[in-house]
Amino acid sequence: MAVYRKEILENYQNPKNRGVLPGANRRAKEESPLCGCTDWVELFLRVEDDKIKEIKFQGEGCVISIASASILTEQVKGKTLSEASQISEDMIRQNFGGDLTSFRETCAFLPLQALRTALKLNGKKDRSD
Amino acid sequence: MNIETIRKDFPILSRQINGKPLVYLDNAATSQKPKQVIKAVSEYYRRHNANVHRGIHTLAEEATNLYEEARKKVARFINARSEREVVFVRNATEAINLVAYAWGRKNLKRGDEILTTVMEHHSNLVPWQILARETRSTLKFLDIDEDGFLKLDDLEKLLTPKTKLVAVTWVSNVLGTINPVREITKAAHANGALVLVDGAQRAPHMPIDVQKEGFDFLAFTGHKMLAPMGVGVLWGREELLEKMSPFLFGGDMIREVSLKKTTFNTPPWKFEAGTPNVGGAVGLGAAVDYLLGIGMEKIRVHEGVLTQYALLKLRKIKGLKTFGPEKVEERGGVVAFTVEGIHPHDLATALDQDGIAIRSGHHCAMPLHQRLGLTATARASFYLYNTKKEIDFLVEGIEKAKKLFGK
Repeated sequence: MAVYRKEILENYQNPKNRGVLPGANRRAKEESPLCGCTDWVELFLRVEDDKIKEIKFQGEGCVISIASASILTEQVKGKTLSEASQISEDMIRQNFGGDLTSFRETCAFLPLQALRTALKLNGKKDRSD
Repeated sequence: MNIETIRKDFPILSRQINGKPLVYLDNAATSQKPKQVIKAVSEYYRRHNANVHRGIHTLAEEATNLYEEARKKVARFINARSEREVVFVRNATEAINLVAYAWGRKNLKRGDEILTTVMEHHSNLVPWQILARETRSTLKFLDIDEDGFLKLDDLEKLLTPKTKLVAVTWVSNVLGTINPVREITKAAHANGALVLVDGAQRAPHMPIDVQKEGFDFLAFTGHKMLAPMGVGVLWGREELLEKMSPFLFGGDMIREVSLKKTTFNTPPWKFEAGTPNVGGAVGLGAAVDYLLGIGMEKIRVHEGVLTQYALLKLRKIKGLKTFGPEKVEERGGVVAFTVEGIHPHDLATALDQDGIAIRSGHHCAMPLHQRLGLTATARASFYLYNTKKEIDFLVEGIEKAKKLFGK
């Protein structure tokens, strides 16, 4: 089963960076009505000196959205804001070996949307107050 | 009813998906098409295509006759008093919107009430939300009980002298519940309210007699009942349609036009502005012929057998929960379910690897899922060409997915 590779299933069963981050200074939650369910991902970031020092997520979702959040949070940890803002849909597709159908891409992109909201890249307000 | 013969009529059923024979269990979303329907549409475009109602030439005459013949077939299919009660639209959603615009905006005023239910498809909910907001009327909801039935005991309390319309689905697209629309209509009429029934999940699967049921409007779509996409039906009682203003304005719906003034055509044509989907209507006529050739009662029985078998088999799977009424007499061929620890989208993706097509998500019924406390469900839905063997494949596929996801 192409898309559910061992690495993806492991990231779902034991996701990295799952939980809340008490010292977060950026925070964004995205829901996914587009994919026909009410899954959600919330990101917590601690940004210092223009760098993502820590990142955590919580959420409710399918293998694809949770694994995507796990992999993405690993990828952006320690990156500068400018580097993190370069993360594209194509990079998310690569995380899944290019095996996602266009419908399931919406699941995989959910954490990316939350990241962009947290980084104020998509015009939406984050929840960092 | 010979299923193997029927299956041969549906070319798509011989397709392989991911190297496996297609097991199509997403019929509540759309049905597949028999070659008789495909041929009727193709013949229409090969031999008869012309614009309808206005042309003098031979093809225009043929196209008009085919279009109006399809209307008569649909009228007979639902036992309408007259084909003038059958309005061709794009789909059930447009049929409901037509009533919301052409009847609702004229007849509802501030303080009036519309009663609907928590189990509606968004198509029978959102148009009423917007109508209520625009006319400052109130939208009220009939709840469901734990078994997936409408709480009819609440009906009396919810119907008030202010209730102008009751909008209810005949068969739920998630729970499968068959609602007692005749009983609801009696209560609504006694209260002076009209009744609109969403028949999208009824028309393909069970007989319909609109005169016996007594409600006022019925909406359904062609593509769920073997016809092409893009053609649907609004049935309305003739005296109501006559009083309603047109929904869209332009060609074909007029009687006489001067630069400053227009008189409108009579129903159903006054609701069919612009060139209609003639090929689609011809396909719908062929679909009706096909369904009646087999017999709606037989189709209903076949789906009942499949549903009973599916409920029995699925419930044996550990961690699997089904929703909706217990008895197949009280439900259509739709089975929504969840498997503990597996997201419905993942289940659908895993099953697709084995060529099995099911639906996952909220099935355009978000309020119902909220009511059930669920973010999403998986749904298998059956039609006349499905077999018990296909349900066995589904069960095997779910067991396989459970292993894959370690559940």
